[in-house]
Amino acid sequence: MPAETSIDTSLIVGAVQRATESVFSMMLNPPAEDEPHQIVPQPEPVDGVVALVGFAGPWAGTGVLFCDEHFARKMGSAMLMTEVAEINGDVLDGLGEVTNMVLGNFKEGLESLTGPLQLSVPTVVYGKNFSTRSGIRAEWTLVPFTSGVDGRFEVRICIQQQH
Amino acid sequence: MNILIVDDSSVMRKILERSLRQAVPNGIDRVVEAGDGAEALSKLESDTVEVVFSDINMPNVNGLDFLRRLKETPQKDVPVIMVTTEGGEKTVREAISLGAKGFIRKPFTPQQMESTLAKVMPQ
Repeated sequence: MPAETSIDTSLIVGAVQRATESVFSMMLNPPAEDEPHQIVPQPEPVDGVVALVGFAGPWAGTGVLFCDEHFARKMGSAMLMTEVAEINGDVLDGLGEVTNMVLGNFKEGLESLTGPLQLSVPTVVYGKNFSTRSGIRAEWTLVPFTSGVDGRFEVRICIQQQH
Repeated sequence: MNILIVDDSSVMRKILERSLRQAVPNGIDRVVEAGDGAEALSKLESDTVEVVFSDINMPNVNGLDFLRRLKETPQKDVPVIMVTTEGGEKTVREAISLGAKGFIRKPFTPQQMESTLAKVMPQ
């Protein structure tokens, strides 16, 4: 099937929400709830944890899961079933895996429009006041959620058709 | 039953083991872990396992290359269940053609682990 030449933002947001709710409802309890999305040229600098995966194929880009340190510890604690006091390798590893699941499900939800895409293994960065940039010249769609594991997180998508 | 879990995420290996022990409470004797396909092939040479649970999207030797290489080894008949977010039709077809016996999509429940294991390893 030929890939679409453009994808409506509402389809991207819907695919992110379905993927995120699917992962959080099965892996972490209680599930995440949607908040209104935003479109931005570039995300602002952040404090916290950013987990990135790359999309490649007829469409290419970057998917990100961003959260603050507090949420990262809470999510790590929920996944590991033990209280985590500080960000460590297991927490970053767990966030990378959640990102892989969310964006893997997102990718599958979008492939009827984009054609088959490949997903890279995740890279996870933890720090203060840092920015991320994609080589893809497209706007970012920021899709925030509140989660019952205490706090907010955001899934960010920047994807563009390749010529 | 001895099980080999292959996933680059140590946290996911822990979650998989926990889910398996919930799914078959008295059925798991020993769990062997590997971080990619190359390590899995090495573990299969030194450890006796009855079933393998493997991710697909891994660095170094990924899950499909693991299946490809496993076919050339004396351990080729050990059943492999893929546990992955890569559940697209093309990936599933390729994994099955390479010998995968079952698929579990991440995220999963212990019940899904149990039913897939029962299909692959009937009592």
